[in-house]
Formats: sequence, C-alpha cells, structure tokens
Amino acid sequence: MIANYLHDIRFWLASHHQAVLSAAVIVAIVYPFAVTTYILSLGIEVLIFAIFAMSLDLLLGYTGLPSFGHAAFFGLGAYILAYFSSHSELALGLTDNLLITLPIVILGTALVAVMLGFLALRTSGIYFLMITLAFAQMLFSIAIRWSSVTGGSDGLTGIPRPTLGIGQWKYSFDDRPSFYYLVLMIFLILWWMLRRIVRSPFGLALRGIRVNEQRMRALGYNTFRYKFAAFVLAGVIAGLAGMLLAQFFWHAVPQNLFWSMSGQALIMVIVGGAGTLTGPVIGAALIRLLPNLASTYTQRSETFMGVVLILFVLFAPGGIIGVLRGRR
Amino acid sequence: MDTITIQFLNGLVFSMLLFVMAAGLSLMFGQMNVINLAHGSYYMLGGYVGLTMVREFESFWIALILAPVMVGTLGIIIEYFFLRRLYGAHRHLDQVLCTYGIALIAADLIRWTWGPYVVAVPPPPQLQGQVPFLGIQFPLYRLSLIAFGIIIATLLWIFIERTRIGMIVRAGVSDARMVSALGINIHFVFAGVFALSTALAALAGVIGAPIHSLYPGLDFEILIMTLAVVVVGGLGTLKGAFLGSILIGMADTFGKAFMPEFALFFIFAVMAIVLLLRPSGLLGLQGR
Amino acid sequence: MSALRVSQLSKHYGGLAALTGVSIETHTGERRAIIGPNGAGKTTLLDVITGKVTPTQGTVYLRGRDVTAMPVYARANLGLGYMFQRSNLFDSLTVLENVCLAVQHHRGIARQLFREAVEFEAVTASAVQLLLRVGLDAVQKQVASTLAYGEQRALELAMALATEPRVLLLDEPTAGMSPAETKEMVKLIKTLPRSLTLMIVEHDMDVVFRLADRITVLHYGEVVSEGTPQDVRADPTVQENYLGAYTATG
Repeated sequence: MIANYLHDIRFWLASHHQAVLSAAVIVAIVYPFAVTTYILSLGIEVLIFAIFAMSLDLLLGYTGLPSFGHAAFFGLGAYILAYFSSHSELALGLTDNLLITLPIVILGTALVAVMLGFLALRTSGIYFLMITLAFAQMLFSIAIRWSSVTGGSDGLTGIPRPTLGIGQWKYSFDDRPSFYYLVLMIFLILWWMLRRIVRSPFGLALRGIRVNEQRMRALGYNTFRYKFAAFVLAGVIAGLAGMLLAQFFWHAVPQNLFWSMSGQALIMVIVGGAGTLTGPVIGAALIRLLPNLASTYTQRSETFMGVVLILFVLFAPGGIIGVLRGRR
Repeated sequence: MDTITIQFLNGLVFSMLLFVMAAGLSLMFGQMNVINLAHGSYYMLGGYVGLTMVREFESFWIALILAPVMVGTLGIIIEYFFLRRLYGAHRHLDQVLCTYGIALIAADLIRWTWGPYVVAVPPPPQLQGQVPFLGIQFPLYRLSLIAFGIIIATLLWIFIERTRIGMIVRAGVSDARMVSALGINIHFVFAGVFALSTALAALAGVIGAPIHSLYPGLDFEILIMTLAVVVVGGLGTLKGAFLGSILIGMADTFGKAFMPEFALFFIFAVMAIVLLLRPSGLLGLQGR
Repeated sequence: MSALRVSQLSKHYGGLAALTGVSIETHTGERRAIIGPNGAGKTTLLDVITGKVTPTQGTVYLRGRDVTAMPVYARANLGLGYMFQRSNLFDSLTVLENVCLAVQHHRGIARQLFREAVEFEAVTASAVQLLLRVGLDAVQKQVASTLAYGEQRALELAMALATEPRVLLLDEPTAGMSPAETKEMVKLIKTLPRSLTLMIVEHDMDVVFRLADRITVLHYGEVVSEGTPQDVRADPTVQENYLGAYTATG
C-alpha cells in the first residue's frame, strides 16, 4: 500500500527528472525575493550544512570510512577564516577578500587533513571511528584552551562578510541575499564537482574499497592512497562549509568542532541516505529545519533526533533516498 | 615529593575508574565487534541513579548495588530490542550508530530528569575525611576507590580467565559462530556480556560521582577518555584495558597538575604515537 | 628465469608449523597443481605467495624478483593474479562494474577524477570482452550478489584475468561446483594462453589430472612428492596417504 504510493512518487520523479531539477533551480534563484529574512537565513544555513554533509558522504557513503570527527574540519575552516578576517583583537584581521581567504582555508584544512589522515588511516573500521572522534576532540580542546589565539570558549567574533575582487572591482557580500547567492554558487559548484568525482573511475575505486578493500588490493590498488585522497578532499570541502558558516554567523566557536556537530552530520548522511550525495542534502535540510519546528512543541529535540536516527538505522538504513528507491 | 605522591594517587583513582569502563567496553567489543557509544551514558546514568538511591534510602551502599543492577537490566532491554536486530558481519557501523542514538536520547532524558546543573555527591559517611598514607594526608574515599578498583580488576580477571563462563566469553571473542556451533546460546552470551558491561559502567559512575560530581556532558567526557584507553591499551583484552587505563589516567592527572593547557593534547599525542607504532594498541588483539 | 619460485618457505604460527622448507619452482607457461589433504598448508602457501601472510623464513620470487617484503597490491601490479577460493566479489556492484574495477586499474585510469567512468570506452570494451570470454556478457548489469554460484566463480576468474597477470593463482577453482559447471571451468582454464603460468590448488583429482603439467604434493606443510601426473600417480607414498581410493580414468 505504502509501497505502491512510494513507487508512484519514484516513477513520477524519474520521468519528470528534468522538470524537477529545473524547478529546483528556479526556486533556488528566486528564493531571496520570495521569502522573509528569517526563511532566507534558514536557506543559507541548510545550504552550508548540505555542503558539510556531502563531504562526509564522500568519506562514509562512498569510501566506507566511518569518521566520527568530521566536525574537526568544519570548525577548522571556521577558525582559519575567523583568524584571518576577524576584527577582534585576537585575530589578524588582515582581509576579508575571498581571493585570499579561500586559498588559505583550503590550504590550512588540507594540511591538517594530511596529518590527521596519515595517522587515522593506519586504522580501519571501529578503530578509525574512535581515532577520528579523538582527534576532533583534540582540536576542540585546543580551541577551548588556547584562548590567546582562538578566543577560548567564546570563540572569535567580529567576522565580516566576505568581499571578492581586486583593487577597484570589489564586490561585497554584505547583505543577506547576495551572501545567499554566494553560498548557493559555492554549493552548486561543489555539488557538480562531487557528482563528477563519484562517477569517475576514481569514484568507482572508492566504492570498491568500501565494498571489499581486500579485493581491491588483490587487484593491485594501493588502497591507502585512495582513502587518503578521499579523506583530504572531504576535509577541505568540510572546511569550506565551515568558512561559510563563520562568515554567515559572524563568529567561530568551539561548538563547531564538538562531537555533537560530527554526530549531527552523520545523522544527516544516514537519514538522507549514505552514498547518494542527494540524500545528505535532504538530510541537512531535515535536521536543520525539524528542530526549529519541533521546538514549538517540545524541548526534547535531542531525544527526537536520537529516535529518528535509531528508526532509520533499524528500518531504513538506506535513508530517505533508499526508501524512495525501494530500499536497496 | 608530596605533590608527586598526591598526583600519583589521584592518577590511580582515575585509572581505576577508567579501567572499569574500559574493561566493559573492551569485553563488548571483543564479543560483538561493536563500540558502545552510549557507554559513557551508562556511567552518567549510574551516577545519577545512585544519587537518587542515596537520597531515597540514605545509604550509599544500597546505591552501589542497586544502581548497577538497574542500569544493567536497562542494558539487557536495549540489547534485546535494538541491537539484536543488527547482528551480522556488515552491520557493525549500524550498531554503533544505534548506540549513538541511544546516547543522544539518554543525555537528553537525563538532563530532563535531573536538571542541567552540577550536582555534588557526598561520599558515604564511613569513608569521609582524610587519613595518613605514604607520608601525606589523603582522602579516605579515594583510597578506598583504589582498593575497590583493584578488587574489581581481580574479580574480573578470575571470572574471565578461570571460570567456565569466562572461557565461553573468551571463546566468543575469537569466534562467535564456533561458540554457537557448540550449542551454547550465543544470544545469551551477548546479552550477558552487554549487561555486565553496562552494569560495570554504572558501578563506575556510582563510585566516581563523589570524585567529580555529576553534570551534563560527563557522559561524553568519560567516553572519550575510555576510548583513549582502549586505543592505547588495545581492544579485547583485560590486560590491555589495565595498561591503557594506568597510562591515560596518569597522563591526564599529571598533565592537568603540571601543564593544564596541554593536558588533553598530551593524551592525544600519546594516542597518535601508539597508533603509529601499533595500530591495534599495545596489548590488543591483532587483526580484527 | 622461472615464473614463480618459492625457496625454503616456512610459516610458523606459535607452535604450529603450517609450512616447513617448501621449495617450488615453476617455469613460464607451466600448469602446476598443488594437492594435499586439508591442513596440508596449501592455503598458507598461496597466502604467502600473494603477500597476505609474511613467511617466518624463506623467499618468494616472482619472475625472478624477490617479492617477499612487498605488500599485496605491489605483487598484483607485478603480474600476480589471484582467483579467490570463496567468491570474493564486489557484492553490491554490478558484474560489469566488478570487471571494470579490475580493468581500469590495469589501464592506469583508476586515478581519473574528473571524467565520468562511462566515458572511458576502452575500459568498458575490455571488460565486456572478458565477460564474453567467461560467458557472462548477458548478465552485465546484474548485481554480483544475485548471480548463481557457478556464474560468481566465472566472474572471479574474469576479474583475475582482467589484470592481465603473468602468473595466476587459482584457489580451488571448481570448489562447490556441479559436474557440468566443473566441466565448463576446466574448459575455460584450458583456453588460457601459455604465456600465462598457472598454479592451481585443487581437491578434484579429475581436474588436476586434466590440467596439470606437474604436480606438487603437500602434507603437513612439507613437499612430499613432485613430478608429472604419471610420476605422482605411481608414487606409493602419495597413493597411500592421499590418492587413496582414487582410480585414474584418464
């Protein structure tokens, strides 16, 4: 009965593929003009977390690396940007120009990802899970303790919205709609990029590693290199999401690094559907929006999220996308 | 010298707590290849339930027995309703995610029941105050905790290494299917190990509460420390849990005493080094 | 230069000696069968050759090169292929994807990030060719886990061949197969070129005598006999301990 209903939805979506996509794009473009400021903010938030969730999907859903510490890169991106752009006394406050801050964030997160990946990827499965959790916690403790640089538990504030350009031709993403378009653009670029990557031979190799790493080695693959590449890539993309977060909320705080943030990303991926790229986007929307809705009825949003996670793990491990596809 | 002795003893206190936690976590992992992310939640729950018992019955000793039993029972219920559905080679991550969901729910419900503020828990009247020990004055409760920890460690060792049930548990560590083929109900064994593991966590929570008080977030803090212990000491063995807990317990205590900014960082540096040299821990089971 | 040579291989697990002083040399194009009762060390031997297990003593030479210290993937890249005993496929991927994974690596394409896999027609074409060869082209799009057992074994072989190995290890290729499926597999193996050296671990004596140029007999981790099929069949110790009631039919 429900199965038939779902089948009909699936069929409709599949056959009206182009139309649905076009509609989504149009909605995305006119969004700022059609909604209130508050809803616009929610939209920006969802897009940022969608990027974060997609990066984790690359790691978990495609490569099979269960990272419980992905928020480390999310928060790291935020802090790096904050340190370079913030006007507070602790930070450098050098520039808010994306031409400079973007490469710096990418480089910074890549460096840390290389170091952490080199260590963490010596383990696999449960050990990898624990190590990533521990490493994220390590970064969190640095953020809290190294107050002179990170602002301690208050974090770094006074982050301006970014600008882009050289010399005279500088555009400032000051107002919310323009920042929204910036985030949307970055989201679309990263979405397109990730889609190509997962469909490439490299992406197939990652999937092979997830399904049967031993076999991959027997075929001649140096699986460490592939996992390493995926880890660094995922870390950098998460860092970019963190950068946008810091610019949006004008601050970078230790909570961005905390395990509950890593856990939230995991829930987004699982609930949306691991290994689908679209799933985590939906998951991000749900997980960011539902608590807002639920909070009008109850304070127990954490319990609610835990219940949702367990329900999906037990009954719909393929997430929402899995349910729509007939649970593969 | 006195400071060193004090910190050494404090370190032992923490190590004992960590050992009880790590032993439970390690046992579970050895049996089912699952890391219970709600392990810290059971610790915290044990502490809070113990507190309520103390308030109700005005006896720490009753709390010491009842809290682990209650939490252990809860553990069996959880295992039966949730984790049992997820047994199977490729569902380890799903089991872990399930325990994470439980941890989220537990943390929220605990905060709802007992409030978000720090709650101090007094040690039992018989064990209050300080006594002379090794040339210094040291809290009696902490000393008794160390002794208690050693007793538990010994009892566990005897149970695992010297009893028939322990042998079955150890066999399950190497090959669950084999144990099953021998006609032993593997589900009973799993449920039993789970119950023991959660009861141990709750017990640790009860005896630890007077040391560090109870507050939201405790669950995660103790979990992360326990994870550090099993990474360093190695998963699946009691010896590994013991070695790891001593190392981490001492590192944390001395770190906090002499280099507070870097204490946590130091512990993770130790983790990283162990990972580089021996990814399965110093005394862990190889190749799982 | 021999194709595959192991010299004085020993592997001890604590007190248990799985292999002791095993030396085997095969020349290019040879079909070498390894036989012996269960527990004789056949699996351990293959594990040491592939690199899954490090020997306590001894050396492994692949086409003249000492590979004893090399990891599994490095040996695979030097031309060592392996057909697993139990199906060790990419269960949730399609048959075509399974073979493509093998081919794309061999062609050096696996690192391509930005172009979609379907664009690499040469890879897909080679994969389809291989599937044709083992008779699986009809089920290309099927998910590997849904294949019949015999088909899964054929896919195993296809993947082992996809890396264009020079030395191919076959771990009980006909295990669990019906007589008809066994016949097919033997036929397939017979079509393999003589540029490829084969080392086959087998229990089915029929298959062994049909395929092997030379046979090595292992018992309790040691080589107890070696020679042509005729030699080995005539060897009284082998007859007694292993061939038992086997009566040669051909």
